Amino acid sequence: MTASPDSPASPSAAPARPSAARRTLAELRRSPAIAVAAGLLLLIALVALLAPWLAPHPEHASGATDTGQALRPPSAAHWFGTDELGRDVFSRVLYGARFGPTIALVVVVVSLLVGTVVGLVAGYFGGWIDEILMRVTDVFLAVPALLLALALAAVLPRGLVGVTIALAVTWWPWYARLVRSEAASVAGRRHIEACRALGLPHWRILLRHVLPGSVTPLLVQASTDIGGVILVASGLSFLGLGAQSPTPDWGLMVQQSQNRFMTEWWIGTFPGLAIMLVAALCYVLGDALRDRLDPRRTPRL
Amino acid sequence: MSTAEPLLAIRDLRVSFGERTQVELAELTLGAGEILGLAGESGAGKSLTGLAVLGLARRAGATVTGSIRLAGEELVGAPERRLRLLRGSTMALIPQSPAGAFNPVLPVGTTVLRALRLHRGAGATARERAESAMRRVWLDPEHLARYPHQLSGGQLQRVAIALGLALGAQLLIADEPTSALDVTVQAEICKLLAELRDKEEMSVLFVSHDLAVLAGLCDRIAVMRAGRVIEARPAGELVADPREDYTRELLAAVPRLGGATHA
Amino acid sequence: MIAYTARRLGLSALVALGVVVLTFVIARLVPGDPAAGWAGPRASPEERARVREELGLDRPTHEQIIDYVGGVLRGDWGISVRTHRPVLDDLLSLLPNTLQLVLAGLLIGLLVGVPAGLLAARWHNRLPDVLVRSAAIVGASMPVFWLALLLQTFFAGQLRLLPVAGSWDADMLAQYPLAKVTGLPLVDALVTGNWPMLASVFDHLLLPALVVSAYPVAVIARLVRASVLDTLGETHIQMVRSLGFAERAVLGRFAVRLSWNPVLQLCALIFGYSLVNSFLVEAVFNYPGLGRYAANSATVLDVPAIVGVTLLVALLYIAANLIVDLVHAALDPRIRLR
Ligand SMILES: Nc1ncnc2c1ncn2[C@@H]1O[C@H](COP(=O)(O)OP(=O)(O)OP(=O)(O)O)[C@@H](O)[C@H]1O
Ligand SMILES: [Mg+2]
Repeated sequence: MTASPDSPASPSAAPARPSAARRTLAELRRSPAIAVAAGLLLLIALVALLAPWLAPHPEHASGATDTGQALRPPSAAHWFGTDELGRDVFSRVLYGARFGPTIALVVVVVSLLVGTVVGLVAGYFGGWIDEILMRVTDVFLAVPALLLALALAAVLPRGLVGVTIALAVTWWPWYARLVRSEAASVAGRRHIEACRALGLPHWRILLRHVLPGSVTPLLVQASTDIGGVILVASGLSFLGLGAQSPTPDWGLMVQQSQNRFMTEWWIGTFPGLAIMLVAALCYVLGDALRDRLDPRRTPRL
Repeated sequence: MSTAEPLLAIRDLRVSFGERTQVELAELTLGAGEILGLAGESGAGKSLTGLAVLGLARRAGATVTGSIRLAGEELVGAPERRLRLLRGSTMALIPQSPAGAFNPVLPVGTTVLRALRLHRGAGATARERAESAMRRVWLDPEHLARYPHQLSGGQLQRVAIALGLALGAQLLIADEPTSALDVTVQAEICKLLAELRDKEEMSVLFVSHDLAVLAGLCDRIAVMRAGRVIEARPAGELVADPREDYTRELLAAVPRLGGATHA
Repeated sequence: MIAYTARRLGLSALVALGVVVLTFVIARLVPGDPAAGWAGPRASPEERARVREELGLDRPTHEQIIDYVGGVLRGDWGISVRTHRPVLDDLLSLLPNTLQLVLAGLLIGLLVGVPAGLLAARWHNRLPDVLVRSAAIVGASMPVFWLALLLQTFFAGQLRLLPVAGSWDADMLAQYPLAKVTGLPLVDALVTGNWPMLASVFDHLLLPALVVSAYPVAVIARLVRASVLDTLGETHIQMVRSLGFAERAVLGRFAVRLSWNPVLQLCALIFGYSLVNSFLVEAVFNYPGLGRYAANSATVLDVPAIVGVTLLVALLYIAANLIVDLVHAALDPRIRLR
């Protein structure tokens, strides 16, 4: 196995491959910022999973109301107060962790897959394939993300699936660009040409020699982007183009509280804080990862 | 009194990063109109010595103790404000890589004029001074309007020298000013420095790996090793009859010096 | 430079064309029969067929695309289902308000972000740096619509310092009509010396612009900090220090000069981002701009309007990128001469 022809002892291909996972773990231990941010994000994931047991009023997440308790300010009984239908805001915020963050995760993963394939193909083969693929990404990137997602979400069926598709269609070109530039810089190297000369199948060269160089920047970008997608997704919800009532989506909750914001501040403040918290954690994580793994690059945010 | 004292006098200088002492100089002097060569292997502390003289070693995180006197004035422990005044006006740096020495998005003249205005105040004379300094380094004053990437390495290095001249510096600290240049340009810069020394009493602290270059140009050469000066003597003497084994090794490492300098 | 400009122009035109096609595709994604939507729910099959023919839906797709592109080029962007007016007219009447909002946000972004980034770089890893970095993270991760609600509640609701919504005082406008010069109300009021209107427009603009500026401030501060820190180790900075410049001048007069280009390049991205961010802000402040129009159109599935907004904003964004690249080339001698 070690002597297989497509793993030559080339230093330039080596870095990300042999122990990417273990190295990442070691980095985690050395950087408290990464540990804290990743830890808190995991905690939020846990909250999303365990929401039915953690929330004092799980029924308020799915349409049940309690009009007798409407518009109560935060108290011991209702930590974040109640909304105009008497629903416990705290419970709904906990359940909210199941929507925005999940959408963002799915969007980023799907975009990563699509973008990576497109970017690898463009960067590795070059020529007219590259030219066409990159012009297509240019077109997508020429429409600001939120707007393209808004237009798509508007014409697609309303709901979580529509938003997710709209966002994924919006996001993949970023990764295509990123992977393409990495792939193009590796593609011309001598050991890749050697592999080609040996007649190795393209997909093998791509996976084992071209892709590894992109892993670190992709990881950094993806963690930052989860924050970005959460913000855009919540914006769509706020405009009524995402999750539909009574889904306890944070963006939607802020929108529904809009008319009461001046008087019953708690209804919209806490869901907004939740969005901000998750987005900020993603940004901090992305920053810390970049500082650790990829210090040369400057952020896009 | 100042006639008795050399332009630059370093005594018991110690530069350290934390616990590690990187430079420990018992004594090193440089007279007016003298070119002192500073030789030694990589990491010997040559650049750090230059930085210390400029008062920039502290900014790099080093502790500096001992004494550095420039024209009779103590620099170690001098207030930053005073050091800033001396930097540029009495001493100037000529860096190793001419390519990176000037801000890539400013015409080189902009840096020159800003520095002149900083030290010599506003006034129409700034431009004249800059232009005359350019002529003194055999450059067309037109070159001031150019961006760094439009000038060759040798030209840039001459602009750097002109900058020191325009500011009226008496001491140039040249940190390997020729190692990034090819041999003919190297010779040209050396010729220029020699002329400045002879005509204008300029003093130069010339750092280099290359004993051949130093031997041809310097009045005296100090050989550094592990932060200390192990041998400091007139250039011809040192090359012809090195006292230390280490100096001999350095000399042996320079192929062109085999018989050439003895001739 | 001319060759560069020509190449860059050609590329932009190509991308713009691509965007037109993309919007065509988006318009066709609408579930169901577009003709049915156009003719209304009670239309008979014959009526629908007639509409199909009218809209050219019966012809091959490539002909439809060519027609559509031709229409867009001629300025025929369709009729809004909601307002029953030509989409392009609607858009152009609202554009100045949005543009004013975004440019104000961008201006604040530069005025606050650049000094903040310099401050952070000057005191690298010290308190100012930590504060600026934290503030930047917070600024970039706050949902704009939420920030808008917070500021609206606090400054307009609680303190009653600023107006809650709108773009100016209607009574004021009746009394001091606004002459149209550039189309941007703030600039027009300023150049015509219409002080009461200037004050009114400014008051109404301040809060939304502050909200829109949160992102630019954050991103610009981060970028300036990062790029200044990058340059601090370079020889020419050492050189400038050795010339006796104080650290403030080293940063402010030499190092920051190298951040101009990255910041400038970022400006196009920020412009695009803020443009759509302003959509959310407009929704909160009920500010008559493209965003409110887009949001209203999206909720009632007014496809021509949605497509129109997308197209216009994309074209603006492409133009911003083009301008930035050309200015960049003009500023950076290394590019211009390539
Ligand atoms: N900022 C710093 N922090 C810690 N150590 C440093 C720093 N700058 C220099 N040193 C150390 O000081 C010693 C002397 O460095 P210096 O740059 O003076 O060497 P040099 O003689 O100029 O070598 P070269 O010929 O390679 O330029 C080296 O061992 C170096 O590692
Ligand atoms: Mg050195």
